[in-house]
Amino acid sequence: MAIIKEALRQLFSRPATVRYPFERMAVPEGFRGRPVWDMHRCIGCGLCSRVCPSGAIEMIGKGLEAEIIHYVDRCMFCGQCAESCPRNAITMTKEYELADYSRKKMVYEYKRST
Amino acid sequence: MKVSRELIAYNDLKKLVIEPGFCILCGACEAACPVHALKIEHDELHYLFDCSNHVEFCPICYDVCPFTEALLLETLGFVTDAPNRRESIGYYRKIVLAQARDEKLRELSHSGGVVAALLLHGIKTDFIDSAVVSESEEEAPIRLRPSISLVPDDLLSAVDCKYFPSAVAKAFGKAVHEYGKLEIAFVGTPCHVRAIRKLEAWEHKIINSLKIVIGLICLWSFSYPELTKFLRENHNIEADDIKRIDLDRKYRILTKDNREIAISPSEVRDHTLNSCRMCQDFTAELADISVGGAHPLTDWSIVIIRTEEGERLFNDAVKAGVLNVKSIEEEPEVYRHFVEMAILKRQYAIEEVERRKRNNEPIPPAFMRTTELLPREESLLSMLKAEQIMTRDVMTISPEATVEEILSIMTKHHHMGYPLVNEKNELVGIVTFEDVSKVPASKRAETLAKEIAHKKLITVNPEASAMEVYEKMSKHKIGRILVVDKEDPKKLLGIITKTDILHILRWPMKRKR
Amino acid sequence: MAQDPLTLIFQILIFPGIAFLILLAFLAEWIDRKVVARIQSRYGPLYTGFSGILQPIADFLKLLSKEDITPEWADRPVFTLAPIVFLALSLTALFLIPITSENALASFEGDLILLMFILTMLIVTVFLAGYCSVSPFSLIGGVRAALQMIGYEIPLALALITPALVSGSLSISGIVQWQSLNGVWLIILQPLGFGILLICMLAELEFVPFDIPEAETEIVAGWMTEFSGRKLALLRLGKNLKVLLASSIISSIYLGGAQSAGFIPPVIVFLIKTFLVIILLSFLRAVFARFRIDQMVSGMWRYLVPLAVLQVILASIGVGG
Repeated sequence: MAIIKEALRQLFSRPATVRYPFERMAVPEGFRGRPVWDMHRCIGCGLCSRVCPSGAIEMIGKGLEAEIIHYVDRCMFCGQCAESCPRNAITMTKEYELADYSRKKMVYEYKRST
Repeated sequence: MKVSRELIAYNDLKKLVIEPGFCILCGACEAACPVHALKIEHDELHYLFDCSNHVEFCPICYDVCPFTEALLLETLGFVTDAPNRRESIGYYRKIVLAQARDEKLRELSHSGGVVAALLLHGIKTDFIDSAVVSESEEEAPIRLRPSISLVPDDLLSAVDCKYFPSAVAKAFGKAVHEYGKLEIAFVGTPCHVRAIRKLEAWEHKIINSLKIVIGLICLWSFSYPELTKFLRENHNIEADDIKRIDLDRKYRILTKDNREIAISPSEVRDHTLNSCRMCQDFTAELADISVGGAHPLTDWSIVIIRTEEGERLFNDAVKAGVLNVKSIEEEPEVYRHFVEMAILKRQYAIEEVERRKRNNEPIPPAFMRTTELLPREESLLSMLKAEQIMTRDVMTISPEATVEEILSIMTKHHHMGYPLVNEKNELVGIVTFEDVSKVPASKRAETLAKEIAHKKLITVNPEASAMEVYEKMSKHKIGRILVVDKEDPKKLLGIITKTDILHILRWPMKRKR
Repeated sequence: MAQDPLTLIFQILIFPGIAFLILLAFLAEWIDRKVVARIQSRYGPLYTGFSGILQPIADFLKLLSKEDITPEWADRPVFTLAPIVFLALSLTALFLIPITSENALASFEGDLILLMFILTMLIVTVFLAGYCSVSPFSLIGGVRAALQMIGYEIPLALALITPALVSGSLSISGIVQWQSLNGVWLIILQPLGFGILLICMLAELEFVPFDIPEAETEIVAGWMTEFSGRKLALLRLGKNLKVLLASSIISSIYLGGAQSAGFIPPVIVFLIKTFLVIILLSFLRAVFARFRIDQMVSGMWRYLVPLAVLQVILASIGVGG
């Protein structure tokens, strides 16, 4: 009998669905979205690139002149790069709407500003 | 000075610090290594695997080691917002004498018990959630090992003075990685403190968990095998017999059967750790709070508060009634002894560096530069004139003042030298701390300033360049120079100290925590 | 019926013929999906048309445009014909139901028996469809459908016959007229029969708790697994028509069917009653869990058959008549 009552109650109340993309849920703390590199802090050690499980990070050059290329279409947002960086130069942002029609556009480059 | 650096810092570290024997096993490199390639075990630093297979470029272990020249300027930035600086004391806000109100703590620590009291108060009020300290090993009470104190009871085992190396920076890394602590108090000797500040200047991610740094006033650390050998051969004491070691003017070694042996520092100087011989930092100049013994008082400690964070913890502890505080002006002998030890350590250090330079022996990169200037610094000083950098409001003393009075003025204002100016406003001499120190305590009330002062003065004109000032100070090995009128050398215009020069040279280092 | 051919063609093809019935079938699917979704705290179809009412049509059209694959080992003729026969049977049965008036388009004495025959044939088609598409999932689905029919066919037949007993007519239209004449709905006279019919219709329609032949979580899509593209479109349309058929049977036989109430035309009354039954069926579908095939068959024989027999006995001794 309880299930009938529950079913009737649900029938007449507002559904739990979040009507994405017209409504969006708030993203919780610690959410792992797209990682972002702070090139002022990066020392070019290459640990993020080596530790990435899907090979989504490429480092061009070494040391303080190194530049980073991040392939978002390969990234699995595990956060291992941010975890390994000795200087916390990588932050996992809350961005998750990253889909695109072209894989070529899903590449983020981080260069040094002189 | 190193000109080019290798891609993998360990190669440089090995060549310049580890092989010449300058490593004090603090463990900062182990805590900071992002691939965990270094490990301190069995009194030695082990390189576990070739880290060049795991990183393209990594400067960390070299930069973070307290004995390399990297980041030294930046580490100073953590204390430079303090208003005062003296050559022997470093940057500071206040010097006081303090003791723990709890008698048990004072007893356990054989002095004021201030560090333990501060840490206990910190843990109880959630100012910190853990402390990294050194505690004695049970089997050999004089040997140390680092420990992470999580609850008040842990701290009670970590009191007392330290004379041997302890891998506290490694324990700090462990507290962050394995214990996940977020507000850690770090207690260590000046080199440990320097290592932690270098980590902070490097902006390493484990530093996010550091809350406060308490430095311990340190003369030297000993090499355990060498000191015990010396004691066995020269004084017939076995390492296992030693109950405790104290330091006032001499090292006092207390054995388990209550024999006490006094040894002067100069006797044991050769058995200290290599790097300690060249270290000029007596008071842990980069800590938030520095604490040390207050000889001749046995249950008070001298406390130097340097930063805002240190001040907050200390005032909080005083307000909560955990500490008793006394002004240092009440105990001029304490201040005198303290400064004397600092000067002694610095003297020994400079001597050793000069000696090694003459004999072409290795020197830690951090200590290589004593008085030489970089070209940038030279040009900077050449641009300024003496009258631009001098202090015009000079604290002077009458030639008729007694040595006792001079000592109490020194204890109050902490300056190390005062020009003597007579009633006619003429400059007649200068009296320094060394002169005052030489007078035995019994004769201080009777001896007058003019008796001990230097009459032959080293002065500069106001138009002289700062470069000239610096050269004169270095040549004559003095800490301050008087600026007098060109026409009338007896007319005192101002005074320039080493601190003033330092401020000019180090202006790019200002940074906030 | 003597009508001019044009009207007849209009009635057969448009209203209340094929076009109207197909539209109703889509509407039935929409109601079903919406009710089930809301009970499950979600929206159901939402964006196609007002509140998603065009979604079933969109799905149908989309399926028509998809690739139609026949498995290599499948029995081609049967495989191709099964969806068509399924659709045709459902449509045919709907012509026996009175919609616009108390007389269906193709009513005659004994059309109730024809109806029962068609219901059985539908399941035989299901079995054939499953058997001829050689995949193991389809096989099991088809076999289970046939097995399920063994369970519910007797109670279904009895529940359909009891109104015929009482009303003295073997025609659905006759039963509707009897209810309208006596001013009473058979649900009030034979509630037991109504309950049994409801349960058996759930089984006929392969609705939960009797969706064993198409158990998604167990055998992919059961007997429908290998159908794709146009064939699947026709199958789904056939299913929707079956839902409409079942609801209209229930509403005609037990709820009075297409009678005029005051000045409301019979077709509207019929639609209202049918949709209420659809809502009821969807509601039941949403709250129950699936039975196992052995539970289903034994449950049917152990409980429903005796109850159906009881209902017949009650009806024959005059209770509810």
